[in-house]
Amino acid sequence: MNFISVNQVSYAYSGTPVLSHVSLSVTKGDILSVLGPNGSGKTTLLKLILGFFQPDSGTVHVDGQDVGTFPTRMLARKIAYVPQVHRMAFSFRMMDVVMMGRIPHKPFIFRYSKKDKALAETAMERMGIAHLKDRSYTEVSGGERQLCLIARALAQGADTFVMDEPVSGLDYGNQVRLLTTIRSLASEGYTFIKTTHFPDHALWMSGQVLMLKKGRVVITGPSDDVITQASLSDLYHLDMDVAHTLCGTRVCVPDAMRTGRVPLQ
Amino acid sequence: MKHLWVVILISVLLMACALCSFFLGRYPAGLSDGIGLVSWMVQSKNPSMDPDMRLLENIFFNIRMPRILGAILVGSALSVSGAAFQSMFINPLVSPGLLGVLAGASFGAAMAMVFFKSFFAVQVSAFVFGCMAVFLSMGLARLFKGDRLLMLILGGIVSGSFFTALLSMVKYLADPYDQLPAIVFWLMGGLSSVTNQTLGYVCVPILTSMGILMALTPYMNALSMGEEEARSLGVHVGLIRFILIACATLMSALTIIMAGIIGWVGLVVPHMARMIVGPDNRVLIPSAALIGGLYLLAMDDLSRLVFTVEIPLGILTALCGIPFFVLVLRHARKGWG
Amino acid sequence: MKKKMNITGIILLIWLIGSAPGAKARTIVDMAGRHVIVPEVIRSVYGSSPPATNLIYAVDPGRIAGLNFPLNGKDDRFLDSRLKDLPVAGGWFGQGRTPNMETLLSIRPDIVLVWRHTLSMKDKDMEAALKPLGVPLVFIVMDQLDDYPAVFRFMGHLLGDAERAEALALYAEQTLSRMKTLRDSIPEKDRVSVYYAENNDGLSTECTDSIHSELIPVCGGDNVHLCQAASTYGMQKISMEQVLLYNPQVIVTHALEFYRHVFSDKRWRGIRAVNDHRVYLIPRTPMNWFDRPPSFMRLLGARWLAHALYPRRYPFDQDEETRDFYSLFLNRPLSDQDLKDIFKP
Repeated sequence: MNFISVNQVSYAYSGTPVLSHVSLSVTKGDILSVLGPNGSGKTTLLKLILGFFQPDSGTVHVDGQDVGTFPTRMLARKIAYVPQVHRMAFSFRMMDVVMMGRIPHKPFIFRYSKKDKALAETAMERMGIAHLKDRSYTEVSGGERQLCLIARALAQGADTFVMDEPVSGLDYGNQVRLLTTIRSLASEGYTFIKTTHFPDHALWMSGQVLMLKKGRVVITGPSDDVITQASLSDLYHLDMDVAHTLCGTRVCVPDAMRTGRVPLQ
Repeated sequence: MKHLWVVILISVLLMACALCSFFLGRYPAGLSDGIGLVSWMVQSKNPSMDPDMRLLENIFFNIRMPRILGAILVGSALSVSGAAFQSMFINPLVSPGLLGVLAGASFGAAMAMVFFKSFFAVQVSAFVFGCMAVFLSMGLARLFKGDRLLMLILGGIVSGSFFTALLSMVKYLADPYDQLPAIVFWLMGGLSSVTNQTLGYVCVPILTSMGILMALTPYMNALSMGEEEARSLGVHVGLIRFILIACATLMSALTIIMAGIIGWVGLVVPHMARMIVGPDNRVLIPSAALIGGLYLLAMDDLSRLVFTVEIPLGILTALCGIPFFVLVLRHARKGWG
Repeated sequence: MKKKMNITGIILLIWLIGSAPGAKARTIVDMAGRHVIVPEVIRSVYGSSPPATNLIYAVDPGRIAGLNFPLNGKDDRFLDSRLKDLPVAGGWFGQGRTPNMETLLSIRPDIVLVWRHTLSMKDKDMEAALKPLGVPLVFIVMDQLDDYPAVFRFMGHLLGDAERAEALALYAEQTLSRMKTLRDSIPEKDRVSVYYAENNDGLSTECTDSIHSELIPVCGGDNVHLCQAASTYGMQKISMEQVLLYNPQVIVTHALEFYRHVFSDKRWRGIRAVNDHRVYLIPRTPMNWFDRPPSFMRLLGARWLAHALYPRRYPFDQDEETRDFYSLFLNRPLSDQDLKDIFKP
C-alpha cells in the first residue's frame, strides 16, 4: 500500500494556479526527489503533503487517511518536516531544538520527561552530533545544523521526512554527507520526500523522481529511467547531456559548459 | 542545572530587595520600627490602640507594602508578556505594546479622565480600550492574506497609531488646567496610587495569566522556529498564539491599571534574562518574571528615595533601560543571547 | 459686473483705512515700560493666555476678541452669554501651545494683551510670532496678588473704563490689606501648615515660592513643601511618605477625585488634616478660586482660604461675600441654587 498518495491535486494561490492535477505516490523506504525550475510549484507540493495548505481539488492521503482530517499532533507523528538550514532568531541549545520533536507525543500541558531526553539524545547520537548537544544552534556549522534538524525529525518518531532543498547552504562535503545520511536512513525504512535543484543528487539517491513544470507533472518514475537527456533539456530549457562516469554513476553535464555560450531562457 | 541555581539566586535577591524596601522610605521608619510594630502585633495587640503604632502600621502595610508588591507584580507581568511576545513574533525587538495595548489603554484612561473623572472608571476604561486595541489589530490582520505574523505586526502598528491619534485628540480637547495635567501625569506612569485593594483584584488574573504562559513555554520555543515548522511539530499554532496574545494582553492591560504606562521593562528585561539564562523559554520566562520584579522594584526604590521630588517611574525605567538596550544591540548579530 | 467689483473694492479699502490703527491713535506706556501705540478706542482685545483673558473678562466681557480654549459647558451659565459665540484662537499657555494665526487674523483684535511672566523667556518668541499680525502688543504684569490693584487700574486706563476698574482695584486693595492684617496678627507658632494637593492621587504639589500656591503664604499659612519651583508649570510629584512626614494641619485641593477619596483611603489616615476633617475643596465655578489659571478669582479665594485656615481670627460670611464678589467681578447675581452648586463637592 502507498504510504503517501497525492491524487489529482490542484492548488491556486490568490487566483494564480500553482499546481494542476498533480498525482504521486510514495511507498515506505522510498526517496522521492522533486525536480523542477523555480516557480514550478515544488515547495507548494511539499506544503500540501504537510497539510499546511488544503488542495482546491483532489486529495492528499497519508497512511490511507486524508491529510485535512488529521489533527496536527497526529500528522506530526507520521510526517516530519526538515526545513532548510536557517538562521534562528534565538540561540537555542542543540538539545533544546531536538527536544521540540517530542511535542506531538505529549499532552497539552507538559514537561519533558527523562524518556524524552533519552530519545532526543539517541537521535543525536545517530546523527553523530551527541557531543554538540549543549552547544548553541547558532554557533555550529551549517552541516551540523542540518543534522540537528534531522535528529529532531527522528526524535519526533515520524517515518516520513519532508525536506525542502536540504542541501542549500551546505558546502560540498556536507552535501555529500547529508545525501549519504538520507540514503542510509532510507535503507532503514524511513521515507523521504525532498525537492532539489540538482538532478545529480536525484541520480545519487537512486530513488524515485518527479519532474514538475509550471505546476504540472512532466514525468515520474525511478531516477535512472526518468533523468534523461531529453527530460532534463525540456525541464530546464537547456541542452543537457547525461554521461556515464568511469565509476559507473551517471552525471548531468550542461552543453553550455562545453560550448561556453550563455543559454537562452 | 546551572540555570536552576541562577533562578534560585535571583529569587533570593528579589526577596532580599523586597525586604529592604520595606524599611526604606522618605518617612524615617526603619528596621527597628518594623521590629517594634511586629512585636507589638505578636503580643496580639491591635495597632490602632496606639497612635504611633497606627502610624507605623499605615506606613508599612498601607503605603510600602502595596507599592513593593505592585512593583514586583507589574515588573514581572510586563517582562513575561514581553518575553512571550518576543518568542512568538520571532523578533527580539518586540515589546508588549506591539499590538497596541498601551496605546489603547492610554486613550481609554485619558477619555475616562475627561468624561467620567472617577478613578475606577479610568481603570476600567484603560483596560477595556487596551484589549479593544489588540482585538482591532488581530481583526485587521485577519482581513489580509499573507504572512500571519507580519500581518499581526502591521495590524498592531495601525491600531496603535489609531489610538495614539485618538489620545492626542483627547489631550487637545481636555481642559488645560484640570484634565490635561492629570492625563500627562498618568501617562508617565508610577506606583504611588497602588493600594492593597487594587492589588487584590488585579493579582489573581495576572498570576493566572503568568501561570498559563509558563505552562506553554515549550510551545513558545517551537513558535520561535516559525509558524510552519511549529505546525509540523504538532503545535496548534492558531490556538497557542491566541492564548499567548490573550494572556500577555490581559497582563499588560492590568499593569496599566495599576501603574500607568511603564515603558522599556517589557523590552529590556527579557534581554537581560536571555543574557543570563539563554533563550530557552522554559527557563527564560520564569527568570524574566523574577528579574522584571527585581528591576522595577529597584527602579521604584530609586524613584521614591533619591530625590525629594519623585521622578515618574516611566521616565526612570526608560532612562535606565536605554543604555542597557544599546549594550544589547551590540550583541544583536550573535543571535540574541 | 466688473464695475460692481470695483465699487466693492473701494468700499473695502475705505473701511480698511478707517479701521487701521493709524487713524486715531494714542501712545501708552504698558506695564513692562514699553511705549505702545494703540487705537483711541479699543473695541476688542485678545488675551494671549487664560489669565490675561480672565482679566479682560473682569473689566468688560464684551471686549474679548477670542477664547484660549473652548468653554467647558457645565459652567457656561455663570459666564457672559456672548462668550459662546466667540472663536477659539488658542494661546500661549504651556505645553508648547500656540494660537492659531489664521483665526487671529480673522478676528483682527485691536490689541493683544500679554501677561509678562518675569520667569518666562517666551516673550520674544511671542512678539516675533505676532509681528505679522500688525496688532500692538500690550504687556501686563501680575506675577503676584499684590500686582492686581495696579493691573486693574492699568486696564481701566487702557480700555477707557476707569470707574469700573477703580471699583475692582479697591476690592483688591481691601483683600490685600485684610490679608496683611491677618498675617501680622498671627504669631509664628500659630501658623497653620498647609499642603496643596493636586492631581487625582493628591500626590502632586507646588513649592513654597510657586505662583500656583501663592495664596497659602498670603493667607498666613505655611506651605509644607519647602523648595524652589523648578518651572512655572509646577505640579511636582511627591511621595505619600513625604506627605506623612510633613503631616500638614490643612489640605487644600482642587482635585475632586482626591477629595472624594481622601477620608476613606487608609494611607491618608493619620495625617492631621484628614483626622481633623480639615481638607478643603477649592471652588472652581466658573473659574478656579486658587490657581490654574491664577486669576482675579483669587481675591475672593484668599478670603475663603483665610477663613478656612483661621476660622476664629478671620470671620467670613461665605454666601454674602460670594454674592458680592460675583456681582461685582462677574456681573452675575447668584441664586441660592447657584451658591449650592459653587460649594458642592
